[in-house]
Order: sequence, then C-alpha cells, then structure tokens
Amino acid sequence: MIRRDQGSGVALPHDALDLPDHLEIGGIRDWADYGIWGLLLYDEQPPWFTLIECMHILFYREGAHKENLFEPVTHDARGKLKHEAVTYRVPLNLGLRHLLFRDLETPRVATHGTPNAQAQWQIFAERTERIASDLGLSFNHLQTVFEDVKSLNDALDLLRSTEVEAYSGRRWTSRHILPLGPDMLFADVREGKSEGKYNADRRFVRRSGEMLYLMLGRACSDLRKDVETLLRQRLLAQNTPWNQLAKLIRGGETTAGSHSEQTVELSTGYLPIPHLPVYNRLAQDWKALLSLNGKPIEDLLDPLMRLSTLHQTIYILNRSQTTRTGGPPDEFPPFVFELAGSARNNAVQRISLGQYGSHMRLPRQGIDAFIDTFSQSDHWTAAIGTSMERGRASQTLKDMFRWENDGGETSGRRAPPSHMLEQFRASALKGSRRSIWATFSNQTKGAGMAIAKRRAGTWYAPNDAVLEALVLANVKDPVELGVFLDDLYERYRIVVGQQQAQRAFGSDAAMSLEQLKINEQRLEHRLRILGFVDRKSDACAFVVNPYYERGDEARVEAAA
Amino acid sequence: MHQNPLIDFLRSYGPNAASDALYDEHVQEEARKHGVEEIKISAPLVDEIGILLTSDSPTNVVLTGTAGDGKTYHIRQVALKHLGTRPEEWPGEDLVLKYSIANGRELRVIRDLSELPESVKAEEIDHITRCLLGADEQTVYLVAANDGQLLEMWRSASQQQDSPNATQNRVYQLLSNMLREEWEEDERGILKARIYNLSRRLHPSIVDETIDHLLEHPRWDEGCQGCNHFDGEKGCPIRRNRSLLRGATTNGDGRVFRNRVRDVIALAAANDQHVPLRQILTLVVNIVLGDSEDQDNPLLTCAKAHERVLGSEYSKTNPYDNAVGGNLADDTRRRFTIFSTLESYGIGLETTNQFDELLLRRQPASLAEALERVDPVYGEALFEKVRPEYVRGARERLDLKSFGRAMTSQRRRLFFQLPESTETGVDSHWLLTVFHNGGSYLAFQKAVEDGDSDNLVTTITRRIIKGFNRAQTGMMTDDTETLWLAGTVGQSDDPTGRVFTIEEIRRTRATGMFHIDVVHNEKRNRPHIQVVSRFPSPYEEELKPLDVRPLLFEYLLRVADGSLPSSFSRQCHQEVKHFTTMLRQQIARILYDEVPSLERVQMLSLDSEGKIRRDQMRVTVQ
Repeated sequence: MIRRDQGSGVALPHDALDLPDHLEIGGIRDWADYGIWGLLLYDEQPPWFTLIECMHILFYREGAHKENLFEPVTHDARGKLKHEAVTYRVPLNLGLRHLLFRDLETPRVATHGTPNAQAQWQIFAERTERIASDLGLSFNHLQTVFEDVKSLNDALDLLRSTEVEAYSGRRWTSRHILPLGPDMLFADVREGKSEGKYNADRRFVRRSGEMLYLMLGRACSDLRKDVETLLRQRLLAQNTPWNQLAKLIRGGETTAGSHSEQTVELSTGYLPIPHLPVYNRLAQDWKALLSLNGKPIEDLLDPLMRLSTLHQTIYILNRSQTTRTGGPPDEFPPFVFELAGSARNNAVQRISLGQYGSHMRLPRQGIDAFIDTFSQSDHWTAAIGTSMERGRASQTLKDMFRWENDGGETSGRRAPPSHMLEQFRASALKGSRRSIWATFSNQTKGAGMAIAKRRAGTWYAPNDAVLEALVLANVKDPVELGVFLDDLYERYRIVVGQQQAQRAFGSDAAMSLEQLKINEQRLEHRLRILGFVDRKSDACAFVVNPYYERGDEARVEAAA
Repeated sequence: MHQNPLIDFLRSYGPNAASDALYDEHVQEEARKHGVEEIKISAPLVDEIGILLTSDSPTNVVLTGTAGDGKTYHIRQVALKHLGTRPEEWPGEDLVLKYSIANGRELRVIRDLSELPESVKAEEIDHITRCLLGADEQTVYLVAANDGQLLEMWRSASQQQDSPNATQNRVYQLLSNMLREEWEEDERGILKARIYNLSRRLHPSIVDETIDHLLEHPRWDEGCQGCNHFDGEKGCPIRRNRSLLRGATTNGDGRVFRNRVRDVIALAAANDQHVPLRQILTLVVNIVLGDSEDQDNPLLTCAKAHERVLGSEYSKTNPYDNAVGGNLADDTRRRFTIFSTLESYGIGLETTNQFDELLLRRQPASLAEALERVDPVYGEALFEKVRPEYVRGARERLDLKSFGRAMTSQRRRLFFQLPESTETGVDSHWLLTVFHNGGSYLAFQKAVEDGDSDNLVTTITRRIIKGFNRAQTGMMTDDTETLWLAGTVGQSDDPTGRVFTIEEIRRTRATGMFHIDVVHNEKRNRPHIQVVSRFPSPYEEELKPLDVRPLLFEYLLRVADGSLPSSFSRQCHQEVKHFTTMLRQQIARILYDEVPSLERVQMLSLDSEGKIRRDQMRVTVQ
C-alpha cells in the first residue's frame, strides 16, 4: 500500500512516518528511493564520514546540555507517531583544520628555522599573518601555549596521525580526524568564492550519519539509554588528552566571541520506518563495543564505523526485500563471507559473488515493486481513465514522485499514462551514481566487507578489521567457534560454514560443503592470527575476545 | 626365515592404524592374534576413578581428551580392575553398561557417548543431565567423549527447534566453561561431576614410561633369538633403530635421541599442539620400523629388514628421517598431529656454517668421531657416497637434489644426536629448526617452574623485554630494564607506536610503580610475564599477563637479535598488541580513572645509548 505524506504529498509506504516538518524537499527530484529508504543514504559518503557525522550530532547535543542525546519518536496530539526534528550545529574549526590540512609553514619554520624560540615565533607570525586574517582569527595564542614552533609541529603531527580517510586527496575542508572530543570536529564545507564564506554543500557528508543517528535513536528505549550512558561515559563527557591538545591549538577561536559565525547549522533527514529489528541490533553492537573497557575509546571507533555500516547495508537490503515482497524484515538473501579473498578455484567465492549480485539487484526490484504497487493504487487509477488523463497522470507523478518527463518525441503530456509510467520506471531504475545500489556497493567495499577484483567481480571477502569488529561486538565470555558462526548468521545473516549454509539455503542446495568447511577453517585460521581463537583440541575451539572483562556490564549498569 | 611376532604387532601402532572409534579393541585383537602382550600404558587415573565410583558417595565422571589419549583404555581398565568385569566379558554387546554400586545406586558406563544411536541418545542425555545437576542421585555415570563431541551433544540437545531446553543449555554452559578454564571440578558445585581431560593429564613421565614399555617389551629379545641378524656386523635395522633410540650403545646417559624426541613433544605441548599418547607410540614405532621405499607400506617387517641387511640399504631405514615422517606420504603425514608438527619445525631445513662444516669437513674432528661412535650406520657410512663430490668441487657431477636430501638427513641426525651445546661449544642443535630458541625456551620454562635458576631467568627476561620494546615501538632500542607499553592514537595500520600515557614497568622491584614478575602458570604450564603494581589497592583487578608460548618467545628473541621472522610475526605482533592495549587500559584505570590528562602524554624516542627516553608534550596548560 502506498499513501501520501500529509505535508508534501510525496509517495510513502503505508507504514512510514510522515516527513518531519522542518525537512525542506523543494529541491528534490525522483522521490521513489527516498520513500523506501529515507533521506538519505549517500553513495559518496565514506563509512568513516558517516560515523563522524553521527558524532557531530551527539557532541552537539552533549555540548548544548540536552537532556537526551537522542530525540525519541513521540506521539502527536492525535496519537500519531511523529518523526523526530533534530537541529544541530557543527563548528568550522578553521584555525585547527588550516594548520592540520593546509598549512606548509609550520614544519618549515620548525625544521629550518633558528633555534631561538622567540625568533621562530617571529617568523611563524609573519608567515601566517595573512592567512590568519583571511580566516578571521589569530594564531598569537600559540606562543603562550607551546614552548617553540617545533612543539607545535609535533602536536599537529600527533593529531594528524588520527586522520581518517587519509590519502584520499579531498579538499582541505573535507578532511577529518577521529572525533575524540568537541574540538576535534570539523563541519564538512565548501570554501566560497569570496573570502570567509563557507557553506555546507553536503558534498562528502550528506546525511548518512544523520540516518545512523536516527536509527540508534529508534532502538528500544533500554538499549538507547544504555548507549547514551556509555557514549557519555566513554567519549562525550571525557576530556581526552587529544581533545585537550586540539582545544589548546584552537585556543582563541572559541573565546573570540564570534562563535555563532564559526558554526554551520543543519537539521536531520528522514528515516521512514519507526521500528525495525535492525535498529536494535545496531544499538546492541554499539553497546557491546562501548562496554569494552579493555580498549581505549580511540580504538573502538574503527569497529563502530564498520558495524554501523554493516547494519546500514542490512537496512538497505531489508527495506528492498520488504518493499518487494511485503514480507517481514530480515528475510533478504544472506551474505556469504568468503575468507580467502581469492577467486581461484573457489566455490565459496562463486556463491558469494552470486549473493553480492542478487543484493545489488534487490533495491531495483524493490523500486520496481513500489512502482507496481503505486500503479494499482487509487492515486494512479483515479488519475487515468478520465478525459484529462494525460495531464492528471503527469501531475500525479510530479506531486508524488517529484518526477517530470524532460521532453522528447513520444514523451511529455502527449504520451499515454501507461507509457509515462514506464518512462518513470525506467528513469527510477536507471541511475548508476547517486542510486541506493551505488551506496550499497560503496558502503560494503568502504567498510572492508567486500572486495572487487578485475575479472573476478565483487564479492564478500571481509578484511581483518571487519573480523575483529565482529568478534569484539559478539563475544563476551569465550564461545565455541560453531556458536559464534551461528550468532553471525542470526544477527547479520552472514554465512561462513556448512551449518549456516544449510540453514540459509536448505540442506538440498547444490553447494560444495567441503569448500564451506575449508572456508570455516580459513576463518578460524585468520581469527587465530588475530589472536581471537583458543583451540583446545582437534575437536574444540573457542573464539575469545581478549578485551572483554567480567565487570564490563556491571560498570554500565552502575553508571546508568 | 625368522620372524618376531612382536614386530607385526607393533606395526598395528604405526601410522596406518585403524579408525579412531575402535582403536582400543583393534589393539587388543592384534595382541591376541600375534600372541603378544599389549603395550602397557601407564594410567594412574584408573585407580583414582575406580575409587571415586566405588566409594560410599560416588561422583559422576566424564572422561574427555583428544582421540588417542586413551579414554576407552581407561574405561576398560576401570571396569576390569574396579567393577569386577572379567576380560572375556569386555566389551560385550551393550552400549550402556550397568553396575550396582554402593547404597543401591546404579552406575551406568558409556564408553563413547557419540556412538549412542539417535534412538536412545536423547533419553540418555536427559538422564545424564539430571544426574549432573543433582536431580537424580540414585544413578552415577562414567562417560567418555572428546571435548568437541561433548559440547556438541548438549548444544544440540538444548537447541531442539520445537522446545529449546533451558536445563540442557545450563549444562552446556557449565561444561563449556569447565573445559575452557580446564577445571576438573565445578568451583561452585553446581555441576556434580569430575571432568578428567586426559590430554591435560598426560604428564611427561607417563609418556616416558610408555615409551619404555614399548622399547623394553620382553618379546624383543625372546622373539629375536635365533635370527641371523640378531647380532650381525651392522645388524638388523629394526634392532639398530631401537637401540639408537634406547641410547644403549654409549656409556653413561646416552639417551640423547630419546631426550630430543621428548623435547620436541614438550615444545609442541607448550605451543598448544597436544600430541595424544597413541600418536607418541606411532612416532616411536615409526622411528624404529620406518622404511622409505614404499609410501603405501611404510613400515618394515622382519622379511624386509632382512632384505635391507643383505642389500646394505640403510638409507631407507634412517630413523632420523623416520622421526619426522620422511617415510610417509604427504597426506598420511599431515593426518597425524605429531608428524605435521614435526614437519612445521623444519628440522634439518635450517642450518649454520658450523653444522655444515661438521658434516662436510668433519670439523671439529673430535665431535665428528664421537658422533660416529654413537651411530656408525647412518652417518659417514651413508654420507661418504655424496660428500667427496661436493668437497672436491666436482660440481658438474653433483646431483644437487640428492645431495640436498642427504644433507637434510644428516642435519636431522645432528639434531637428534648432537650432545648439548654446552658440552661441545658448537651451536645449539635448535638452530637446525625454525625454533632457534627452542632450547632456551625449555630451559626458561623449567627454570621458572622450578625457581632454582635466577640467572637464567634474568638473562632471558632481559632479552624478552628488549624484543618486546623493539616490536612495540619500532625503535632499535637496547633497553632491557624497562618494559615500555606505547601505542598510537586510535587503530592504525602501523603496528608500532610511540605515544606513551602510563608509567614505566621495571624489570625488578627496586624502583618505580610497576614491575615484572616472571611466574609459572599452572593451568597453561608455561611462563607468564605478570605486571604487578608496587602498592596494589585491595580493589585492584589482576593485570593481564603475557602468556609466553614458544612461538611468541621465538618472535621476541629474534626481534631482540635484530631480525624479523616474517612467517609468524603477524600473529605474534597481534598478541603483543592485545596485551599492550589491554594492560595500558588496566594501568590507566589504576593511575587516573582511564583517561589521562594532557600532561601525561609523552612521546618516546631513542637516546644516544639506545635507551628509550620519554618527553612530555611541551605545552603550557592554563
């Protein structure tokens, strides 16, 4: 079933929330995707930037002393569920990011300058004067903080060592470091033509992190509260030394008084479905990871990033499948993880390749089904079969899907409605960039779950960081390897060994069980090299999480 | 021609043995067939179990262990010695044997839990579950299964699709916990059972005694009486190999070969590669009877031994090659933990100039002669055919492949026969393997356990610290007195890091807040490096120790010596990383409630003497 959004009139699945009031969709075309998956999972946003965007909101809410980190979905006066409306500000942090990502003078002065600290600062001041004034700030405070320019340079090196997506060659205003405190955040912006103008063009950071934030916020309230507590305890309320350092370098900027000009204001997008099991599993993984006191928070961000992306890809598949079949969630074709990372003589690789292919088709099938449902709905049938049908059909597509035919011989208002609908369908299924399947493809590869090789294609071959993340989030006390594999299947629909393959595909499916056995052994081998396996005998091995301590949960509960 | 029935019987212990499940029966039958007494296995647990079961308050007993550790053997012996079963009644038809024991209780004995047919399995598992949880005290069980099967049975019992079973899940959790932690009794007394893991109970003395029983079997002399080759010039290769292994040809403690076999098994065990007793017997039989002519038929018979003597074909019966499974087909070798382990040691594939000098130029002469006296058959006698061509430089006539093979065999002989390096001044024989420091490891392990050689422990601990610091920081430091737990900010591909946020850890207790204790860990049976704080608070948790396995030891010592062994460095580096990360967090919690202040952040660098120094970030924090 399809219904129309109360405010904007766009097409929505029957179980979706209305769009939040603040959401401006005037500029949006081709709505079909957004109705199914929301606004927006963006193909050019790397997984690290998704996590960082989510942290932008969390740090903002902590800094603004909001009572809750997450804004729960609430009922309006008529008892209808209402979409969250969350507005947040992200600092531009220009001084620090200039020194980290654009400045060439500091290392020069530090290495070639005179050994006299005072003279060094003199040169530094001369060389940075112009840029400082362009940025509308001053670097003078650095002299009082750092003994000499070399110390400043060392500090910058240290912070730079936490850059994510380093070597990507992005513009200096789209480079980011680990979000280990409020002074380590940078709004992702475009530098305007005129000096001192920066606007959030959402070129690399476009709402995927807001979606992550909304998903976490829609987990059941116990989990949400635990995640809130842990986030505060482990990160948001911690004054990490790295943030202390960033703050010292930033210095004058925050005290300059012109704070409001130095931030960018944003508001979150649209997540259609109020409750889904995948939101809970996402929150469970955040809880499990943040509970690991054996690892410092800066080491936990990597697994958080990977599993958040894994859940977002599961979300994409879930929504596709539900839209296609109308069935319950979590019935999409499973992932098959191939553990050798090689396509040679590898039956498991071929199965995995097939699963990847079917996943890439699934969103298109979802859109196709969505349009089919629409074509049988009153919205469409009422528009056709009248004397004005061409005009009304065209208007309906424009109103509900923000789609307009851009001309051509057999198109436009002259085409019959059925033809028009097929043109719309073709255009919705066509896209390569900016499509949800492009997002799926980039996310799975970006998070290290899938690899693409020439001639062999793309398939699921997780890297070591993904394996580590899965162990850290799913193992507390040691578990038998077989139990761990079952958990992966139940929680993520990931197939590794024989037994999960039989559960996923049925025991009659034509598969090489021998090869799956080898695949399982490869997983064990890789986990052993990573230090996560304790083999007791040739018949019995445990997966261990060396960072789990018995007291971890007790600490969360005590703090909550 | 003369035949000793013992030889045919021993062949049944060889690497072509029957299937796992029926092994005990198979051996008994072979013994009967050949009219030879079976090899006596030392099994001190038999009486312990017998007493437990026949006491006034009997306890359930679960026997577990790897295939070949003697689960069935133990059960048979308990039945024969303590439960009144007569040998001819064993094993009988019933899969569940029933006995009446004290106070009207019933003892149910199941030799192999996994052998139970599906039809009775569920019911029996149910019953065992009740007994294990103390709900039925009128029945006592003695059951055997390997650890994986044991867990699998309760796991699947608890996961029945139609009715998930909480009780059985409870037993699964308890069993899994006990097996993992290697507890024989449940500390909290919930699980009413004694769990004996025969793999962990395999004490070196049991191994030694059992090898003795095999090598000193009465039929050796009796059965060979009257054979032409009993005391020939070179003699029967079987008797020759046996006597080399017994070490009887030299005066005094000449059991070098046997001690080396014992050492490699000990090193494997310390690396968590457990070799079951049956495979140790297989190894001994293969050393004595191995023959490399036909991989499908890799063991000598008396007839074939006769041929070897006549043709003087001793290169085919080389016991040092046999010891590493050189007479076996690749897939046979890999099927046996013992041979695949020995293969992974690469014995004879590594070498030093000294060893090659000893083989090719017989220098030092006194040592070469001593080795000849120990073994006049497999040394010079075999090697003299190839060596001259190499030494004289007639390279064009040299068949490199067979020369290489001959060298490898000779190096293996050195590994198994070279006297301790302390006696000869020659390199340690462990340099002929991938575990260059294998000997040091065993000495270290023993010294830590016995606590009687502080000097050795200190010297080696210093080398470990040096290797650790180098692996950790990526700097070529010579610091042996302080353990530096440094890192990066966040996960990074760079395995080394120089950001330091905690306190130094001293090698000795003299100064500083934290120091190292090298302790013997009973459970793992190997040294642990334990960091302790000088003034521990009563609430302080136990700090995570560094579990020093031979592989990690090898890695750290090689790094300390300036090389990086690539084949296993990644795994070892991960271990170092986990240890460091976890310990830094624990220490951070002791020092300042987890997150350090900026003043605590220091960067490590090397001073001019190769010592590590730390520098604060030079900032003024207002």
